[in-house]
Amino acid sequence: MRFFSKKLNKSSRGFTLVETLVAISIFTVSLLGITSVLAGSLSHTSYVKQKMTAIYLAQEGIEYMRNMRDTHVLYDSDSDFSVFSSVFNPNPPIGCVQSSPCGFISSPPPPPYLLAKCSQASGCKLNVDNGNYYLANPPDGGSDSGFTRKIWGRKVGSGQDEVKIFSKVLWKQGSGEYSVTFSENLFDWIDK
Amino acid sequence: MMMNTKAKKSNMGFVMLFAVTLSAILLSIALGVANIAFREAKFSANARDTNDAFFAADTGIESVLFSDKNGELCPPVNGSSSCLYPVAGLGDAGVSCANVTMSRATDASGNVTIKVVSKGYNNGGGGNSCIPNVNSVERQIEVNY
Repeated sequence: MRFFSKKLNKSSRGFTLVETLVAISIFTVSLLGITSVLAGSLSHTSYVKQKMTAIYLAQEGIEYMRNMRDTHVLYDSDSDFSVFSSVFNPNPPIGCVQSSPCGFISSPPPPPYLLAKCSQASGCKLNVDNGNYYLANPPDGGSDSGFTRKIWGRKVGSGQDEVKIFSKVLWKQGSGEYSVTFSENLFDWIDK
Repeated sequence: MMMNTKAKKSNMGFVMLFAVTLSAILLSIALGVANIAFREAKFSANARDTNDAFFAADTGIESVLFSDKNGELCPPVNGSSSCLYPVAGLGDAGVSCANVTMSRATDASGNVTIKVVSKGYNNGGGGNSCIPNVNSVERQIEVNY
């Protein structure tokens, strides 16, 4: 009888406070690990979303410059390549160099190139309006997209027939600053 | 008395089962999201490399067309020729490159056809050669005239 009573007592014994605390802490640590993976993945997803947009904006920058070369140099028989490459001279009227880059504007300035210097050296802020991106200064509408784009170039050799152009898009996210840069060389390869 | 003990015994371990099940569900959700995030990261890296490779290919073909403006590149021997021109040091980081192949062929009536194939890579272009890495992205542009 004595033996039986002891056995019954053991089987119906509950957790002690210490056992419960240990169990809860183990469970909490495992949950914390899982939660941090989840949170990290979610923030990474939004980073990738921003990066894809930045890649398309940088690509657009390069293609825009190509289009300018094609329109004003290859198509327009009056213009020649040295006029196009003079855009990348450090001096005015435009002067798109790395330390003072340019952005695209929608209203044509005196030269045929739709380029204007950014108001700050870090690049031109872009506004987004219904999926379209515009320069924030001068304002073309829309609200701040968080992206900044800078377009610049440099002559290769004398610059008579080759320039290297750069398109860089920067954005801030969380505590970090990220950027995507593309580059291409443009030539004057059509005989006139 | 015996039955009572049994019933109690079968009731034991519920907390354990609950904890394990909850952990498993949360772990599978976390792994699922991490998997999606990882794939997106690969996708975006690929999008950047694709552009680098494409712009390298485009620069390569423009460079060769420019050098060949007067038809001096790759002169034909016995009516046909094929030459390889590596274009290196391209892109923002200077590591993109392109291998451009220019070939000339003359048909029976004496017409010369020129084919330029530019294969751009996002890396591997150090110095004056273009030897792409194993994991390079390749984009190709072809011009016939």
